[in-house]
Formats: sequence, structure tokens, C-alpha cells
Amino acid sequence: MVAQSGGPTAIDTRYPVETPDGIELALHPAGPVPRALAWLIDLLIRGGIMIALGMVLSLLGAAGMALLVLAWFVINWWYPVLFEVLSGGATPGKKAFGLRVLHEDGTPVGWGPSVVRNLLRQVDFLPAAYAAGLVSMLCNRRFQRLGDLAAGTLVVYNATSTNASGDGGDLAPGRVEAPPLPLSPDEQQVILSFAERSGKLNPERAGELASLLSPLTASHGADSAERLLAWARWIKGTAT
Amino acid sequence: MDAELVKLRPRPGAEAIDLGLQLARASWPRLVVVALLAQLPTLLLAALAFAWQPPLALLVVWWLKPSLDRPLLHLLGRELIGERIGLARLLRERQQWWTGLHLASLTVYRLHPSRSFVLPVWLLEGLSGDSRRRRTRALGHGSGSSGAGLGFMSSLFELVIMAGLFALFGWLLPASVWEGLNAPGWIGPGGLADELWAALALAYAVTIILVEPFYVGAGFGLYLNQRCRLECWDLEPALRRLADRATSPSEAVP
Repeated sequence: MVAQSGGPTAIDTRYPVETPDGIELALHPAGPVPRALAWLIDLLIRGGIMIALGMVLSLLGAAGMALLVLAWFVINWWYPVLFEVLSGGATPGKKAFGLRVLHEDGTPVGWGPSVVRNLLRQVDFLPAAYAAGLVSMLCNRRFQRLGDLAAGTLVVYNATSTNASGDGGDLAPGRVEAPPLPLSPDEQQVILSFAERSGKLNPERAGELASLLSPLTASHGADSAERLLAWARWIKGTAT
Repeated sequence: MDAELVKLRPRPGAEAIDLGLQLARASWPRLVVVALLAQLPTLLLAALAFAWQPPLALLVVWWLKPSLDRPLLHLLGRELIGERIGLARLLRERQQWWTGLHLASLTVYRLHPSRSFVLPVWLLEGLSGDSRRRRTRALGHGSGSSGAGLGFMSSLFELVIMAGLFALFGWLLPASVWEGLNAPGWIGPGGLADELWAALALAYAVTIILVEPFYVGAGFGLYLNQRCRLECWDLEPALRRLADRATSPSEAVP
């Protein structure tokens, strides 16, 4: 429920894809800020596991140390891959920030690409502290680091979390009235968006916005807003 | 506002930051040139400070960051309304970005957790005193910790880029030069050597030139998003267009 504005080249955080089974999807690639935070959380979790294992395995002497090196190898390399493939595209850190890994076409990430994107962390880490990965993300319309580019993967926000603070709920029942002139689909959408979101606005601002349409509503402020709501109910009624 | 340039709609905070980053990316070459030029006076001051007390150079470079934000934000604001302004025009319009709580931003507000989010309120809305304070508070409503989180993360990204610059420099510099520099001797019992302070200040100044356009852009993205969320700002152009169409003589549906 969003007003359509802007040409196809307009700057947007939404990235439309068509899945192999022909479904149109809007993906929301996630930028470096939530991804770095997610990485930090994963780092803490992995660090915690290693410390706990270290304490237990240190009781076993040399054999324990060998096991610890093995555990480090497994955790370092397979922690992200296993979570990404088996746990809905998200490590615990990514889950905490509502992120997940997908193929560029919107399908869930598979073993091959997940291994590639996580192996190439070594490259993204260069020359130090993930500097190459950060630069790559900021050079890229879809915030892909080098590993993502090589594997053809994206890190996106979960659909549910992107809708959370979107448009407000339903229209309260009330007067229904046809708009005084035929509206294009885009214009209908604007009226609907206004109606759905104006409940959260302060009344003065809602009136101010509605007064922009005074030539059509022949009223001002709150009265004008009331008329827009009536049109929105009519649009909604005719649409379903 | 030109709706053709950016797709505005209410977004979650993290995605608003992403929008700002994309805004900065679209104007990146122009922003980085402005940042580079605006950093030159800072470097001069830092050099003076270095001559007096070497560690002060780094402090000066950090302290004057808010001054760099201003021309960057002004440029971004112009780009948003579809005006691509050159350096001459940026200088001509300096009253619009140089004044407006500049001194306060370097003193009482220097440690403001969400500097780049409040700067658009200060620079672009032309309010003062109580009404500005009320406006800043109102606009921050419901944005959670996005602004402060952005500030924290951009400090982290500054460290990342700085570490990257140092590592890159280490790779590219010929070994003979390294031996001449005697770098291991830079960190001694008496603290850091002057050369290291100079290197740190210079690397930080370069880092700021690279990171600050994105920091300012991301804060601007948060600001625009709050105006969409709290004021339905994104609906305004479409409503205006509809009113225009209704009042124009030929009421053709486009």
C-alpha cells in the first residue's frame, strides 16, 4: 500500500525480482549497518562457544587441544554455512536483525553459493577488518560484498520486518462517497494511503495534507480529510 | 521536492539508513570532492596543532568533523530536489550551511549521538530556539535508536577503513622505505612517536573524507524517513499533482 511515485531509475531500497516460478517479488537488500551488527553478534556467539569448549577440552590435555583446533576450524567455516542453508538463510546474528541470505533471484540460498560467499570472507576481509567488503557493499546498488557478488547471493530484510512500520491498519467504517472525478489507479492508491495512514498523523497535519486537495473536496482541514476518507472507502468498496 | 529522484515511503529505521547510503552513492563523486576540499582547512589547522603538540593533530581532525557535514548535507539536499550544484554555487550559498548552530555543533552538541540525523533539521528547516528544539524532539519520535546506532556504526566503519588504509599502505610501501622509517620504534616506552601521530591524523583525515559522505547521507535518509512516517511527506507531491490535474482545464486521466 504505497503511493507510486518516481521513475524506474529513482533511488530505492526495494529491488524487484522474478523468481524461477514466475512470481514477482520485491526484495529489500540490507546495508552494512545491520549486517555488521549481525556479524558482531555471531562473533560473540562463536567466541562464547570457543571459550566454553576451551574450558572443557583443556581438561583433556594435548588431545583436548587438538580437538579444540578442530572445533575452531569447524565453527569458523561451517557456522555460517550450516545456519544459512539449514536455518532459513540466517545465522543467529542475522535472525536478530531480521536478515536472511537469498539467491539473487529470491530463492533460498543453497549449499554451493553459501560455501562460496563464506569462503570469500577471506577476500572481503582484505586488507584489514572487512574493509574490502564494506567498500564493495557501498559501491553496489544491492549492498553485495565481494563474496555475495561471486556467489550470486543477497542479504535481505525479512518481508515481515519491512512491513512492520509500514502503512497503518484498516479504514474505520463511515460515510462512503464517490470521488468527484475519475481517478487513475495511482491516484486511487494515494487516496487509500492517505486514508490508512492519516489515523497516525496528528490531526492538524492530516488536515493540512487534505487541504492540498481543497479544489476537489471544496472544504478545508479536518472536513477535507473526512471527505478523503469517504472517497477511500468508496475506492476500497469498488476494488473488492 | 522532486519525487522522480527518490522513492519515498515509510521504511523501518535500518532501511531508511540504506536509502540514505544509496543517496550518497548516487552523488558520491561530487560529495567526495566537496569533502576533500572542505578537509583542507582542517588539515592546515591539524598541521599547526601538530607543530605544537603532535597528538593534538588527531584531536583537531576529529573535532572539526561536524563542519565537514554541512556542505555535504547542503549538496545532498540540493540533489534531492534535482539540482546538481557546482562548487561555485555551493560557496555562494554558504550562508545556508555555514551558519545555523555551527558553533554549538562543535561544542555542546559535538558528542550528540545522532548528529547527522538532527543536522537536516538545523540546516534545512530554518527554525531557531524553542521551536527548533521542539521540532528536533518531535521528529525523533519513534525513530528508536536508529540515529545513535548509525553514529556508533559509522565510528566502527571509520576504524575499519582506517585499518584498511594502514594495511594497504603497509603492502604498497617498498621494504627499503619501511626500514628507513624504523616503524617498530614508533611505539616505545615514552608513548607514540611523532611520526605515528602524524600518520594517524593523516589516515583519519582521509578516512573521514571517505566515510563522512555516507554518514551524512544515512542521517539524511533517517530524516527523510521520519518526515514520511510522521508527516506523510511522501504523499504530498502526488496530492499536489492530483489537485493540479483537477483544476487544470482538461481533466484527462493521465
